[in-house]
Amino acid sequence: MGALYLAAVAYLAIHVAAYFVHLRHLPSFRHEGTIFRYHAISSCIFSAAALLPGLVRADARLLIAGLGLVMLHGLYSITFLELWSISQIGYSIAILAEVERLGVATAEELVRDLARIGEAKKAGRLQSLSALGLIRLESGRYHLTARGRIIAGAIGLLRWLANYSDTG
Amino acid sequence: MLLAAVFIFFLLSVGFHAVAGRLSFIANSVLRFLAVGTVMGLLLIVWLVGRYGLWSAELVTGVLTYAFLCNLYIFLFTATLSSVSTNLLFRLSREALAPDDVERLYSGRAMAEVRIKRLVDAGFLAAATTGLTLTATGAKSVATYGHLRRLFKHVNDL
Repeated sequence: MGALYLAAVAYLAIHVAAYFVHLRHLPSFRHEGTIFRYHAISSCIFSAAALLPGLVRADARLLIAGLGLVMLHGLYSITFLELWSISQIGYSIAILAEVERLGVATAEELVRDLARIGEAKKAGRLQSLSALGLIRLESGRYHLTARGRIIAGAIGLLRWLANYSDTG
Repeated sequence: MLLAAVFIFFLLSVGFHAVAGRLSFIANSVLRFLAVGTVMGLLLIVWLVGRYGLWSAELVTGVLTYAFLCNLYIFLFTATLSSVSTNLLFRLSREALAPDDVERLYSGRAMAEVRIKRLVDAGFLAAATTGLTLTATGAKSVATYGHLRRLFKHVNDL
């Protein structure tokens, strides 16, 4: 069991080192899709390798250990993707960086300077949601599809749990 | 049994998070969840050690599964606030919108205004007579994200 844990930790160390030493310098690794695939493919291979020993030997404890390692990869990947994505497109961080640059800024100045980021974020969202089959344009108004209602319901539940009231 | 127990502890954390949000003793929703999640996590560890022992695969797997679920939950609920797409879907669940409404509600200007207000409320920006300034927390955040941007080699498009 110790060898399994050791091999898993070594694999994850190599995975993260490969990114920081070499892959992050490649232009393709500046795209969200590439980063996502880098983690998704690794996660699939890693999960199969972690669960296989327990399944082949029909060993429940080995299988439980393998399941823990699958979660470890999930933990690592979500943390990585979250940090990558926040540091790439964080709107709030852009506002803070602008205040740091200016020293003191009025809300009006910030809104004027940063509105372009909001426009960029909005551009194409409607088309993407429509392409994913979540919304449809009908009689001149956007409506949720059946699939969109399920997703929106889950979003509503999460917002209720976190006690969020505003939107935007 | 192991996974069911972990899931129950996780659901209790989520439930306490919802309660804590209404009692409002911590303003930041992530910190609020970290507070209740840590307490429930410690209780889970105590339960796991009592049932499976200190040196067991069940303890490691239980803790990792709980940590993964908590991390996923934080990722999801923060996305419902910060992501334009999730906000748009949520708004559409309450009312159908004309393209002009979307244009008005999600204009770059409206989004910037909402986020500036949130940053002031969360204590990252302070409102002075001359305008908005960074608080110590805000300055620390900018520095941290600057390091992250360099680490991930993001092009400087902020």
